[in-house]
Amino acid sequence: MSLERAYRRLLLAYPAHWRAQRAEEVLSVLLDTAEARGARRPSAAEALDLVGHGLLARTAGLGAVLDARTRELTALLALASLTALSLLCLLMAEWWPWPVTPLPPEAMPEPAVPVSDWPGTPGPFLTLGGPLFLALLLPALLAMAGRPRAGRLLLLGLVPVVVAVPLIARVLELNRPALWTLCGLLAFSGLALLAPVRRGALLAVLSAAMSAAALCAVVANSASGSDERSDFYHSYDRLQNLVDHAPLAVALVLAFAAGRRAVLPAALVGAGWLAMLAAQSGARGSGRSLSLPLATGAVGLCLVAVCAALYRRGTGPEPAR
Amino acid sequence: MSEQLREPTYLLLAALAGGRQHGYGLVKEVAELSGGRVQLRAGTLYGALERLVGEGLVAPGGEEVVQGRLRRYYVLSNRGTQVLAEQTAQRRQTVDVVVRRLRTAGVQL
Repeated sequence: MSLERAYRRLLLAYPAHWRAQRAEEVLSVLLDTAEARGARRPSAAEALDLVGHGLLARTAGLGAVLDARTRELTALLALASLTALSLLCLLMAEWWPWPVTPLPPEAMPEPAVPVSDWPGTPGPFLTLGGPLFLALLLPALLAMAGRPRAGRLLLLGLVPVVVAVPLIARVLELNRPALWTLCGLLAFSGLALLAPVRRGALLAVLSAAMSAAALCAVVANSASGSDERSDFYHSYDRLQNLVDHAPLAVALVLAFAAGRRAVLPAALVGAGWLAMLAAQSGARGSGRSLSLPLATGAVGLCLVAVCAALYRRGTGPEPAR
Repeated sequence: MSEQLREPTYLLLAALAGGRQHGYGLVKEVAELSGGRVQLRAGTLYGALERLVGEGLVAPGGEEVVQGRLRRYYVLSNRGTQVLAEQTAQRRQTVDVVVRRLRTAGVQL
Protein backbone atom coordinates (compact mmCIF):
# COMPACT_ATOMS: atom_id res chain seq x y z
CA MET A 1 0.00 0.00 0.00
CA SER A 2 1.36 3.45 -0.90
CA LEU A 3 2.19 5.85 1.90
CA GLU A 4 -0.46 8.31 0.73
CA ARG A 5 -3.14 5.62 0.69
CA ALA A 6 -2.16 4.47 4.18
CA TYR A 7 -2.49 8.02 5.51
CA ARG A 8 -5.82 8.48 3.75
CA ARG A 9 -7.10 5.35 5.47
CA LEU A 10 -6.05 6.68 8.87
CA LEU A 11 -7.76 10.00 8.12
CA LEU A 12 -11.04 8.08 7.79
CA ALA A 13 -11.15 8.29 11.61
CA TYR A 14 -12.15 11.96 11.12
CA PRO A 15 -15.75 12.87 10.21
CA ALA A 16 -16.54 13.44 6.51
CA HIS A 17 -17.10 17.21 6.83
CA TRP A 18 -13.70 17.58 8.52
CA ARG A 19 -11.98 15.53 5.80
CA ALA A 20 -13.64 17.62 3.08
CA GLN A 21 -12.08 20.76 4.58
CA ARG A 22 -8.78 19.51 5.93
CA ALA A 23 -7.71 16.13 4.51
CA GLU A 24 -5.55 17.45 1.64
CA GLU A 25 -3.82 19.96 3.89
CA VAL A 26 -3.09 17.41 6.63
CA LEU A 27 -2.03 14.84 4.06
CA SER A 28 0.61 17.22 2.68
CA VAL A 29 2.01 17.71 6.21
CA LEU A 30 2.05 13.94 6.78
CA LEU A 31 3.80 13.26 3.46
CA ASP A 32 6.34 16.09 3.93
CA THR A 33 7.16 14.79 7.43
CA ALA A 34 7.42 11.18 6.24
CA GLU A 35 9.72 12.14 3.34
CA ALA A 36 11.96 14.14 5.68
CA ARG A 37 12.55 11.09 7.87
CA GLY A 38 12.59 8.59 4.99
CA ALA A 39 9.55 6.67 6.25
CA ARG A 40 7.73 4.27 3.93
CA ARG A 41 4.72 3.63 6.16
CA PRO A 42 2.95 5.47 9.00
CA SER A 43 4.46 4.85 12.42
CA ALA A 44 2.34 3.40 15.24
CA ALA A 45 2.53 6.74 17.09
CA GLU A 46 1.29 8.60 14.01
CA ALA A 47 -1.58 6.13 13.58
CA LEU A 48 -2.58 6.48 17.24
CA ASP A 49 -2.38 10.27 17.01
CA LEU A 50 -4.58 10.46 13.90
CA VAL A 51 -7.16 7.89 15.05
CA GLY A 52 -7.39 9.43 18.55
CA HIS A 53 -7.83 12.99 17.31
CA GLY A 54 -10.15 11.80 14.53
CA LEU A 55 -12.48 10.13 17.02
CA LEU A 56 -12.38 13.24 19.21
CA ALA A 57 -13.36 15.33 16.18
CA ARG A 58 -16.28 12.95 15.63
CA THR A 59 -17.54 13.49 19.19
CA ALA A 60 -17.30 17.25 18.60
CA GLY A 61 -19.33 16.74 15.43
CA LEU A 62 -22.05 14.96 17.40
CA GLY A 63 -22.41 18.08 19.50
CA ALA A 64 -22.43 20.48 16.56
CA VAL A 65 -26.14 21.11 17.12
CA LEU A 66 -25.19 22.88 20.37
CA ASP A 67 -23.25 26.14 20.50
CA ALA A 68 -19.72 26.13 21.93
CA ARG A 69 -20.65 27.48 25.37
CA THR A 70 -23.50 24.98 25.79
CA ARG A 71 -21.24 22.11 24.72
CA GLU A 72 -18.64 23.15 27.26
CA LEU A 73 -21.18 23.42 30.09
CA THR A 74 -22.71 20.06 29.16
CA ALA A 75 -19.26 18.43 29.06
CA LEU A 76 -18.41 20.02 32.41
CA LEU A 77 -21.55 18.73 34.14
CA ALA A 78 -21.24 15.32 32.50
CA LEU A 79 -17.59 14.92 33.50
CA ALA A 80 -18.47 15.92 37.07
CA SER A 81 -21.40 13.46 37.03
CA LEU A 82 -19.22 10.68 35.60
CA THR A 83 -16.61 11.23 38.31
CA ALA A 84 -19.20 11.47 41.08
CA LEU A 85 -20.99 8.31 39.90
CA SER A 86 -17.69 6.41 39.69
CA LEU A 87 -16.74 7.55 43.19
CA LEU A 88 -20.19 6.72 44.53
CA CYS A 89 -20.16 3.18 43.10
CA LEU A 90 -16.56 2.65 44.18
CA LEU A 91 -17.30 3.64 47.78
CA MET A 92 -20.79 2.18 48.12
CA ALA A 93 -20.45 -1.04 46.16
CA GLU A 94 -16.89 -1.98 45.49
CA TRP A 95 -14.60 -0.87 48.27
CA TRP A 96 -15.26 0.94 51.54
CA PRO A 97 -12.00 1.66 53.34
CA TRP A 98 -13.33 2.30 56.86
CA PRO A 99 -15.02 -0.25 59.15
CA VAL A 100 -18.62 0.53 60.13
CA THR A 101 -20.45 -0.61 63.25
CA PRO A 102 -22.63 -3.63 62.41
CA LEU A 103 -26.30 -3.28 63.25
CA PRO A 104 -27.95 -6.00 65.36
CA PRO A 105 -29.14 -8.85 63.13
CA GLU A 106 -32.83 -8.04 63.71
CA ALA A 107 -32.27 -4.49 62.38
CA MET A 108 -30.75 -5.68 59.11
CA PRO A 109 -33.23 -5.28 56.25
CA GLU A 110 -31.81 -8.18 54.24
CA PRO A 111 -29.61 -11.07 55.31
CA ALA A 112 -26.15 -9.87 54.25
CA VAL A 113 -24.04 -12.38 52.38
CA PRO A 114 -20.35 -12.04 53.19
CA VAL A 115 -18.52 -10.95 50.08
CA SER A 116 -15.77 -13.44 50.85
CA ASP A 117 -18.31 -16.21 50.14
CA TRP A 118 -19.07 -14.87 46.66
CA PRO A 119 -17.36 -16.34 43.64
CA GLY A 120 -15.84 -14.09 40.97
CA THR A 121 -14.69 -11.13 43.07
CA PRO A 122 -11.57 -9.53 41.49
CA GLY A 123 -8.93 -8.56 44.06
CA PRO A 124 -10.23 -6.23 46.76
CA PHE A 125 -13.30 -5.32 44.71
CA LEU A 126 -16.77 -6.80 44.52
CA THR A 127 -16.97 -6.74 40.71
CA LEU A 128 -14.96 -5.73 37.63
CA GLY A 129 -16.48 -2.29 38.20
CA GLY A 130 -13.85 -1.55 40.89
CA PRO A 131 -10.83 -1.07 38.58
CA LEU A 132 -13.11 0.54 35.97
CA PHE A 133 -14.43 3.16 38.42
CA LEU A 134 -10.87 3.91 39.56
CA ALA A 135 -9.81 4.43 35.91
CA LEU A 136 -12.85 6.65 35.29
CA LEU A 137 -11.72 9.04 38.03
CA LEU A 138 -8.56 9.78 36.02
CA PRO A 139 -9.94 11.90 33.11
CA ALA A 140 -11.24 14.57 35.51
CA LEU A 141 -8.02 14.44 37.56
CA LEU A 142 -5.94 14.86 34.37
CA ALA A 143 -8.10 17.83 33.36
CA MET A 144 -7.55 19.36 36.80
CA ALA A 145 -3.80 18.80 36.42
CA GLY A 146 -3.83 20.93 33.26
CA ARG A 147 -3.87 17.96 30.84
CA PRO A 148 -7.43 18.16 29.45
CA ARG A 149 -6.55 16.62 26.09
CA ALA A 150 -4.86 13.63 27.72
CA GLY A 151 -7.95 13.26 29.91
CA ARG A 152 -10.27 13.27 26.90
CA LEU A 153 -8.13 10.75 25.02
CA LEU A 154 -8.12 8.48 28.08
CA LEU A 155 -11.89 8.79 28.42
CA LEU A 156 -12.27 8.00 24.72
CA GLY A 157 -10.18 4.86 25.26
CA LEU A 158 -12.27 3.87 28.30
CA VAL A 159 -15.61 4.02 26.44
CA PRO A 160 -15.04 0.69 24.60
CA VAL A 161 -13.84 -0.81 27.90
CA VAL A 162 -17.15 0.16 29.56
CA VAL A 163 -19.02 -1.47 26.65
CA ALA A 164 -16.85 -4.59 26.88
CA VAL A 165 -17.15 -5.08 30.67
CA PRO A 166 -20.08 -7.56 30.48
CA LEU A 167 -18.18 -9.64 27.91
CA ILE A 168 -14.88 -9.48 29.81
CA ALA A 169 -16.67 -10.47 33.02
CA ARG A 170 -18.28 -13.45 31.28
CA VAL A 171 -15.00 -14.63 29.74
CA LEU A 172 -13.04 -14.23 33.00
CA GLU A 173 -15.96 -15.57 35.09
CA LEU A 174 -15.96 -12.48 37.32
CA ASN A 175 -18.84 -10.43 38.70
CA ARG A 176 -19.82 -7.34 36.73
CA PRO A 177 -21.52 -4.14 37.95
CA ALA A 178 -25.22 -3.72 37.15
CA LEU A 179 -26.02 -2.76 33.57
CA TRP A 180 -27.77 0.46 34.64
CA THR A 181 -24.46 1.66 36.07
CA LEU A 182 -22.65 0.93 32.81
CA CYS A 183 -25.39 2.69 30.81
CA GLY A 184 -25.08 5.76 33.07
CA LEU A 185 -21.30 5.76 32.65
CA LEU A 186 -21.65 5.54 28.87
CA ALA A 187 -24.17 8.39 28.71
CA PHE A 188 -22.02 10.69 30.86
CA SER A 189 -18.84 9.72 28.95
CA GLY A 190 -20.45 10.60 25.62
CA LEU A 191 -21.62 13.99 26.90
CA ALA A 192 -18.26 14.65 28.62
CA LEU A 193 -16.47 14.19 25.29
CA LEU A 194 -18.45 16.98 23.62
CA ALA A 195 -15.87 19.64 24.51
CA PRO A 196 -12.73 20.26 26.55
CA VAL A 197 -13.49 21.76 29.96
CA ARG A 198 -11.81 24.66 31.74
CA ARG A 199 -9.79 23.84 34.80
CA GLY A 200 -11.25 26.50 37.11
CA ALA A 201 -14.86 25.64 36.33
CA LEU A 202 -14.13 21.92 36.63
CA LEU A 203 -12.55 22.46 40.03
CA ALA A 204 -15.73 24.13 41.35
CA VAL A 205 -18.25 21.68 39.89
CA LEU A 206 -16.13 18.61 40.57
CA SER A 207 -15.58 19.62 44.20
CA ALA A 208 -19.35 19.86 44.66
CA ALA A 209 -20.04 16.59 42.82
CA MET A 210 -17.35 14.58 44.59
CA SER A 211 -18.27 16.02 48.01
CA ALA A 212 -21.91 15.09 47.40
CA ALA A 213 -20.91 11.59 46.24
CA ALA A 214 -18.68 11.06 49.28
CA LEU A 215 -21.46 12.37 51.55
CA CYS A 216 -23.96 9.96 49.97
CA ALA A 217 -21.52 7.07 50.47
CA VAL A 218 -20.97 7.98 54.13
CA VAL A 219 -24.72 8.31 54.78
CA ALA A 220 -25.57 5.09 52.96
CA ASN A 221 -22.79 3.06 54.58
CA SER A 222 -23.64 4.40 58.03
CA ALA A 223 -27.34 3.66 57.51
CA SER A 224 -26.55 0.17 56.28
CA GLY A 225 -24.42 -0.41 59.37
CA SER A 226 -22.92 -3.58 57.98
CA ASP A 227 -19.23 -4.35 57.98
CA GLU A 228 -19.75 -6.55 54.94
CA ARG A 229 -20.40 -5.14 51.50
CA SER A 230 -23.94 -6.00 50.58
CA ASP A 231 -25.04 -6.27 46.98
CA PHE A 232 -25.30 -2.53 46.29
CA TYR A 233 -26.39 -3.02 42.72
CA HIS A 234 -29.59 -4.89 43.60
CA SER A 235 -30.40 -4.69 47.31
CA TYR A 236 -33.06 -2.28 48.50
CA ASP A 237 -31.61 -0.53 51.53
CA ARG A 238 -28.54 1.09 49.98
CA LEU A 239 -30.32 1.77 46.73
CA GLN A 240 -33.05 3.53 48.63
CA ASN A 241 -30.38 5.69 50.22
CA LEU A 242 -28.89 6.42 46.84
CA VAL A 243 -32.27 7.26 45.30
CA ASP A 244 -33.02 9.50 48.28
CA HIS A 245 -29.71 11.32 48.13
CA ALA A 246 -28.74 11.36 44.45
CA PRO A 247 -31.15 14.24 43.66
CA LEU A 248 -29.39 16.19 46.40
CA ALA A 249 -26.04 15.49 44.75
CA VAL A 250 -27.38 16.51 41.35
CA ALA A 251 -28.97 19.64 42.79
CA LEU A 252 -25.65 20.62 44.38
CA VAL A 253 -23.82 20.15 41.10
CA LEU A 254 -26.41 22.02 39.08
CA ALA A 255 -26.53 24.85 41.60
CA PHE A 256 -22.94 25.70 40.65
CA ALA A 257 -23.96 26.09 37.07
CA ALA A 258 -27.07 28.11 37.82
CA GLY A 259 -28.13 30.68 35.28
CA ARG A 260 -30.08 30.81 32.05
CA ARG A 261 -27.30 29.30 29.96
CA ALA A 262 -27.15 26.25 32.23
CA VAL A 263 -30.72 25.14 31.49
CA LEU A 264 -29.94 23.02 28.44
CA PRO A 265 -26.78 21.34 29.82
CA ALA A 266 -28.59 20.71 33.12
CA ALA A 267 -31.50 19.14 31.25
CA LEU A 268 -29.20 16.89 29.20
CA VAL A 269 -27.13 15.68 32.13
CA GLY A 270 -30.13 15.55 34.48
CA ALA A 271 -31.88 13.29 31.94
CA GLY A 272 -28.88 10.94 32.16
CA TRP A 273 -29.24 10.70 35.95
CA LEU A 274 -33.01 10.24 35.81
CA ALA A 275 -32.83 7.58 33.10
CA MET A 276 -30.24 5.71 35.11
CA LEU A 277 -32.31 5.87 38.29
CA ALA A 278 -35.35 4.71 36.32
CA ALA A 279 -33.44 1.70 34.99
CA GLN A 280 -32.12 1.03 38.48
CA SER A 281 -35.51 1.11 40.17
CA GLY A 282 -36.91 -1.13 37.43
CA ALA A 283 -34.03 -3.56 37.88
CA ARG A 284 -34.50 -4.01 41.59
CA GLY A 285 -37.94 -5.57 41.08
CA SER A 286 -39.74 -4.16 44.09
CA GLY A 287 -39.72 -0.60 42.79
CA ARG A 288 -41.21 -0.90 39.33
CA SER A 289 -43.89 1.63 40.14
CA LEU A 290 -41.13 4.22 40.56
CA SER A 291 -39.54 3.59 37.17
CA LEU A 292 -42.41 4.95 35.08
CA PRO A 293 -42.46 8.51 36.49
CA LEU A 294 -38.67 8.64 36.41
CA ALA A 295 -38.52 7.42 32.81
CA THR A 296 -41.25 9.89 31.85
CA GLY A 297 -39.28 12.65 33.51
CA ALA A 298 -36.18 11.65 31.53
CA VAL A 299 -38.04 11.68 28.24
CA GLY A 300 -39.61 15.04 29.14
CA LEU A 301 -36.21 16.54 29.95
CA CYS A 302 -34.81 15.26 26.64
CA LEU A 303 -37.68 16.87 24.77
CA VAL A 304 -37.13 20.16 26.58
CA ALA A 305 -33.43 19.93 25.72
CA VAL A 306 -34.10 19.33 22.02
CA CYS A 307 -36.63 22.19 21.89
CA ALA A 308 -34.20 24.54 23.63
CA ALA A 309 -31.45 23.51 21.16
CA LEU A 310 -33.73 24.24 18.20
CA TYR A 311 -34.66 27.66 19.60
CA ARG A 312 -30.97 28.45 20.12
CA ARG A 313 -30.25 27.67 16.46
CA GLY A 314 -33.17 29.81 15.41
CA THR A 315 -34.81 26.86 13.67
CA GLY A 316 -37.52 26.25 16.23
CA PRO A 317 -41.11 27.39 15.88
CA GLU A 318 -41.85 31.07 16.47
CA PRO A 319 -42.87 31.73 20.06
CA ALA A 320 -46.48 32.91 20.53
CA ARG A 321 -46.74 36.67 20.70
CA MET B 1 -3.27 38.04 32.74
CA SER B 2 -3.97 34.97 30.54
CA GLU B 3 -4.01 31.38 31.82
CA GLN B 4 -0.67 29.56 31.50
CA LEU B 5 -0.38 27.94 28.07
CA ARG B 6 0.94 24.43 27.71
CA GLU B 7 4.35 24.21 26.08
CA PRO B 8 3.26 22.92 22.61
CA THR B 9 0.66 25.70 22.36
CA TYR B 10 3.18 28.32 23.47
CA LEU B 11 5.70 27.01 20.94
CA LEU B 12 3.08 27.11 18.17
CA LEU B 13 2.35 30.76 18.87
CA ALA B 14 6.08 31.46 19.09
CA ALA B 15 6.65 29.73 15.74
CA LEU B 16 4.09 32.06 14.16
CA ALA B 17 5.71 35.15 15.68
CA GLY B 18 8.30 35.11 12.87
CA GLY B 19 5.61 35.37 10.18
CA ARG B 20 3.04 33.18 8.45
CA GLN B 21 3.68 29.45 8.35
CA HIS B 22 2.08 26.36 6.82
CA GLY B 23 1.55 23.07 8.69
CA TYR B 24 4.86 21.40 7.92
CA GLY B 25 6.70 24.69 8.50
CA LEU B 26 5.14 24.81 11.98
CA VAL B 27 6.24 21.24 12.75
CA LYS B 28 9.84 22.17 11.84
CA GLU B 29 9.78 25.52 13.66
CA VAL B 30 8.41 24.00 16.87
CA ALA B 31 11.05 21.25 16.78
CA GLU B 32 13.78 23.87 16.25
CA LEU B 33 12.48 26.23 18.96
CA SER B 34 12.33 23.38 21.49
CA GLY B 35 15.75 22.00 20.56
CA GLY B 36 14.08 18.83 19.22
CA ARG B 37 12.17 18.06 22.44
CA VAL B 38 8.72 18.73 21.01
CA GLN B 39 7.85 16.89 17.80
CA LEU B 40 4.28 17.78 16.86
CA ARG B 41 2.31 15.09 15.07
CA ALA B 42 -0.27 16.07 12.46
CA GLY B 43 -3.35 15.14 14.54
CA THR B 44 -2.08 17.11 17.54
CA LEU B 45 -0.99 20.05 15.35
CA TYR B 46 -4.36 20.44 13.66
CA GLY B 47 -6.27 19.88 16.91
CA ALA B 48 -4.28 22.75 18.45
CA LEU B 49 -4.58 24.98 15.37
CA GLU B 50 -8.37 24.57 15.25
CA ARG B 51 -8.60 25.46 18.93
CA LEU B 52 -6.33 28.51 18.53
CA VAL B 53 -8.27 29.70 15.48
CA GLY B 54 -11.51 29.21 17.46
CA GLU B 55 -10.09 31.29 20.33
CA GLY B 56 -9.04 34.04 17.93
CA LEU B 57 -5.30 33.72 18.66
CA VAL B 58 -4.43 32.45 15.18
CA ALA B 59 -6.02 33.26 11.81
CA PRO B 60 -5.91 31.67 8.34
CA GLY B 61 -3.27 33.36 6.15
CA GLY B 62 -3.93 32.13 2.60
CA GLU B 63 -3.13 28.95 0.71
CA GLU B 64 -1.19 27.66 -2.29
CA VAL B 65 -0.47 24.38 -4.06
CA VAL B 66 3.22 23.39 -4.16
CA GLN B 67 4.20 20.30 -6.19
CA GLY B 68 0.61 19.07 -6.08
CA ARG B 69 0.33 19.48 -2.30
CA LEU B 70 -2.05 21.91 -0.63
CA ARG B 71 -0.44 24.30 1.83
CA ARG B 72 -2.59 26.47 4.07
CA TYR B 73 -0.88 29.25 5.93
CA TYR B 74 -1.59 30.56 9.42
CA VAL B 75 -0.76 33.91 11.03
CA LEU B 76 -0.74 35.21 14.58
CA SER B 77 -3.69 37.55 15.29
CA ASN B 78 -3.29 40.75 17.32
CA ARG B 79 -4.78 38.95 20.31
CA GLY B 80 -2.43 36.02 19.74
CA THR B 81 0.55 38.40 19.71
CA GLN B 82 -0.65 39.97 22.95
CA VAL B 83 -1.12 36.56 24.65
CA LEU B 84 2.30 35.40 23.43
CA ALA B 85 3.91 38.56 24.84
CA GLU B 86 2.16 38.09 28.21
CA GLN B 87 3.14 34.44 28.41
CA THR B 88 6.74 35.22 27.49
CA ALA B 89 6.94 37.92 30.17
CA GLN B 90 5.56 35.46 32.76
CA ARG B 91 8.06 32.80 31.76
CA ARG B 92 10.95 35.29 31.71
CA GLN B 93 10.02 36.45 35.21
CA THR B 94 10.05 32.85 36.47
CA VAL B 95 13.36 32.12 34.74
CA ASP B 96 14.94 35.28 36.22
CA VAL B 97 13.92 34.26 39.74
CA VAL B 98 15.19 30.70 39.30
CA VAL B 99 18.49 31.89 37.80
CA ARG B 100 19.05 34.26 40.76
CA ARG B 101 18.33 31.44 43.22
CA LEU B 102 20.65 29.03 41.45
CA ARG B 103 23.43 31.64 41.40
CA THR B 104 22.88 32.22 45.12
CA ALA B 105 23.25 28.45 45.58
CA GLY B 106 26.56 28.63 43.70
CA VAL B 107 25.39 27.05 40.44
CA GLN B 108 26.92 28.66 37.34
CA LEU B 109 24.70 28.75 34.24
